[in-house]
Amino acid sequence: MQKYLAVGVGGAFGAIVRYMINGWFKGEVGSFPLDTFLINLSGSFALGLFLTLLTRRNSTQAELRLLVGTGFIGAYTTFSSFTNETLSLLRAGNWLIGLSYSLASLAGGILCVWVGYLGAVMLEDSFKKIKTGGHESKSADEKKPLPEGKN
Amino acid sequence: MDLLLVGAGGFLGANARYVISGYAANRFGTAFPYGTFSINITGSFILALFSAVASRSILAGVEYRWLVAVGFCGGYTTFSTYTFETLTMLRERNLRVSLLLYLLGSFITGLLSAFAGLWLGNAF
Repeated sequence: MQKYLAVGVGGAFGAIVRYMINGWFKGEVGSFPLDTFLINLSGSFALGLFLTLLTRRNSTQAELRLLVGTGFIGAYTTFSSFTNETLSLLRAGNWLIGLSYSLASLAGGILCVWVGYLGAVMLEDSFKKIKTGGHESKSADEKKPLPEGKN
Repeated sequence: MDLLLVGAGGFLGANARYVISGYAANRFGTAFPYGTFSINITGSFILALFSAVASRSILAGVEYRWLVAVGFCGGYTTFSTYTFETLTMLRERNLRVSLLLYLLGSFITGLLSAFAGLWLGNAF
């Protein structure tokens, strides 16, 4: 029961934050959907950062992952608006805006989730350095290249 | 009132996504994100269908838009999990599956299903 509550509460807040950002960018009909674009890019970055940090710390807090990852960030970003906005741009004959919107969202989304992932890896490494007092660790474990771990 | 309805829609949408992706992972495995794929396709369809039907029916009220379109459809579908899963498969060197089948495949199928939803909604 607690799992559904975590997902639901996170999802409610994610949807509300998205709705509020939608309100700030009242763009003209037929223009580039800057609100959804920024929401999806920032959410991709946030999820890349958050899930990578959780995985690397072997976190056992399932509820935190559900509340923030599945619930909040999952509901904050949206795929249905992305496809529906692209469709209406294409149908209105705004081919250039429709294509640049979809390409920028896809390429930008991958780039942002990757930057988030890299940020988490760098953060973890600097935490480790702080823990070892700033000295280079001599354990063989630390010298190994980062494992290509599965998420 | 708007925040309450958007939140309620988001609560239900996120849980629907959680249940479906859990079921898909158990049933079909996690090699390919079947869950998110079908969620994003059906959500694109539902939003388009709703938008078409709502424009000229009792669903025209803005309350329904807050609950169904912004809250439920927005919370049900997800872009961040979609890009995260693509990155995960990219890191496993599954270039064709990640970029072509999943990233582009979701987008094109989602676009087509939105078109189908719009068409069906206008046919009523």
